[in-house]
Amino acid sequence: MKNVIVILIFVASFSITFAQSSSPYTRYGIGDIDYSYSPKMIGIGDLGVTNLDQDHLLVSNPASWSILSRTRVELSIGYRGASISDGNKTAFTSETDFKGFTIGFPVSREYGVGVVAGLVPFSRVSYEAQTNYDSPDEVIPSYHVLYEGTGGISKIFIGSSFNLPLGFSAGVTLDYYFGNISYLSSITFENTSNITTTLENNRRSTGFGSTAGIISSNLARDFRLDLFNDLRIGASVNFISELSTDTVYSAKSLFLVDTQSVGSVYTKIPLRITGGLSFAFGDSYNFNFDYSYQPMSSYTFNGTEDNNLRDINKVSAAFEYKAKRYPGISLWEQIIWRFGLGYEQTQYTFYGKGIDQISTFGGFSYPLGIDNSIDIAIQYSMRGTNDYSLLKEHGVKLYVGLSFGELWFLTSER
Amino acid sequence: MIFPEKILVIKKIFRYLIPFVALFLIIGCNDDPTDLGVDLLEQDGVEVLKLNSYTDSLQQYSYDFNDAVVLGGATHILLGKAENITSHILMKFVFSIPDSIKSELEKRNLTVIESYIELTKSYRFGDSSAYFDYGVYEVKESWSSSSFTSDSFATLNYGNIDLSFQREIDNDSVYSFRLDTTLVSSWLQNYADTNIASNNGVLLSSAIGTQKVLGFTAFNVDGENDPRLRIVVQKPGEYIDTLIGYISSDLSIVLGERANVGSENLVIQSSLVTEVKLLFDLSKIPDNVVINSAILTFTVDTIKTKIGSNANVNKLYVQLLTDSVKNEVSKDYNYILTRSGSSISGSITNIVRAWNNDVENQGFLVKSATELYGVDIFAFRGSNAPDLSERPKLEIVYSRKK
Repeated sequence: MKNVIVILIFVASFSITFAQSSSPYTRYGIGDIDYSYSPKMIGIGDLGVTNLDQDHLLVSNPASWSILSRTRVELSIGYRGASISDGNKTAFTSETDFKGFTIGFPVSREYGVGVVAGLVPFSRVSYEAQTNYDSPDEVIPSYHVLYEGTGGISKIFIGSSFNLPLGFSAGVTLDYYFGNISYLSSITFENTSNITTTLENNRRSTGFGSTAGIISSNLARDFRLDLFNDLRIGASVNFISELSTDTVYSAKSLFLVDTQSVGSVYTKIPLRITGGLSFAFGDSYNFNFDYSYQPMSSYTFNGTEDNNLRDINKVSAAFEYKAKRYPGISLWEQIIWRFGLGYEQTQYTFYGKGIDQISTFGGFSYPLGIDNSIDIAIQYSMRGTNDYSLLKEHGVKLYVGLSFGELWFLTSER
Repeated sequence: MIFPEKILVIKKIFRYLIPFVALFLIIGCNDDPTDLGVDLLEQDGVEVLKLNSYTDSLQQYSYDFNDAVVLGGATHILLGKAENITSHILMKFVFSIPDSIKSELEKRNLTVIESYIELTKSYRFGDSSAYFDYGVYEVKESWSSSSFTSDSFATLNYGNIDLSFQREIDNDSVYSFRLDTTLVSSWLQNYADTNIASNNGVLLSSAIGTQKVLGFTAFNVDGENDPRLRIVVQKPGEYIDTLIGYISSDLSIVLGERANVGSENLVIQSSLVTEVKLLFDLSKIPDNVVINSAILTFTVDTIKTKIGSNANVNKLYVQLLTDSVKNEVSKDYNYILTRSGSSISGSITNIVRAWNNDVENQGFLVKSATELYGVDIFAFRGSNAPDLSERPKLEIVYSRKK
């Protein structure tokens, strides 16, 4: 009975989104980019394009699935909190929601074939801001306007990895992008006899894309670099076709929905290129260095570029400690630790001033028996500036995920 | 089969995960929205504006007219003459008599020795000290309170002999008069056998010189204070009994021209019934706006307005006209305007919202909120008033994307 209650709470928590993390910057483009959904990836700086980890499913590079040895299921929930300041006042907002789900199957270890599918976030829009108007006019009562942005773009994908000659591995996915983004402006009057109005600009986008990646062989072995136990380079390209976007502009007021305009346009999201280098000292010390570039200055909505968007440049450096396993190793020793630093030139720019972000992150995987783990990651970030009356944001992400691995399709020996 | 090690794993999952889930639930809290970042959201900017029929010179058209309305459903019946109107009353009674009495009626063993009708006053229009008198006449044709209007009165067949006497003409509450026993006897005979006599009730008409209108409580399902006929019958040498006639149908017939309130004014009058049609040209409302409020205001002519003892007359009823030629209104849009001093105003927001959302603007119908009660005259400035600021005023607050 106790476990049933616990399960109900857990399932319910997945289906609820709590409040809103408020960053008005997300009003531009498709909002904040979600590079990763899992605590593992948060813990290594979101990218991890060369990271080969048979205990986790990494969505940044499908080539990494080539070492998948177990059927694996992962899911996560995430908390985001943000303290926003314009230099004079500060506000705190937060939200908690289900982040994503992936499942992977090892098809052939010999050929490095692993098939992975999942539902993960791609971008998110989330902001709330309110302004008050004191009307001197006796006919127009005082009112306030609440600006609210919600939604984002998600991705369903299925892909596979495979081995290439010379010890390289590659992977490719077919991605389907979909999502709703709503920009709301709600007018509420102090005088209740005036009807509250909500103007909604809704965009519903769908389209296909693909992610292709490659990871090198162990270059330390190939080039006999004894300093390293493992040395790899990798890259991935995330291509998105122009998303078909249905737009609806409507006004809602007291049982009345007035659709003022509808349209069908295209949203062009530029491709993303990610490259990285990883190496390991000994059996336990792994380092990841990643760089991602996405020319968001070429983003267009209905053929129009956004002057407040620029190219994304993101770099991260992460360290991962994973103790070498041996018989009798304690639970505590089996914990995998992660830590790193990141810098991102985000896509946002205002008045010629770019919004940059620095972050530090860390996390761990706690083993739950063989091949299972509960993963936790936390990231602290600081982005923006108070110049030009812009906003400075101090953000915290706390992600919790589960990774279950199990042997399916095991061939029995006779 | 679930292996023990798996159970252990599941237990561990919940042992460690639940505190985190609970933590998320607890810390998922937020400050109220602030104006932080509003400058970044200009592309979603909205504005609230107003449109005033006076300052923005909206074209408007209005006129008053009489409508022949069936007054059979009114809670009061009106009798008298004042200002521009004359009101008559039609009433008819039915009986509920024990079989023993009915048997005597059939044998014609009963004699009506006295009959009188009692009316309970509930309304007055005109000077309380003004002269009031009336006559009572036999109606000689069938009529129905559900279809008889003031237009029907011209062809009504009724007697020209006043059958009343000992009329009470000045009282604070109950007015009564004696009624000719022959007429009442015929009603009783009609009750006993409809082939023998008829019962079409009586017509009450004001007498010459009458200068006020009185209202009396009409038929109501509770039978409270409604008109009552009392008949004293006698079986010679045996007994005297009083029979009661209950009102079955009654209505007022209010006749008259529209009240003369001057060309600059419009008039609304209950029971007559005078109503107003008013149309604003709203083509100046921009496209793609949301109507947040609409206030309609009239300037009352306090001199020409004449109110009786009806306290609720200070309210007007506004309805959306769906067919201005046939005077058809929508049942979905009904608003009350309330008087305050020399103006009467109220919200008609949903009417303007309807016009702004594909309902054709054929104007609105304005009438008394108590249209079947009293004959009060309500005068206010119309669309021809020389002072533009006194004309009917419509103030609209709307919002739109910047």
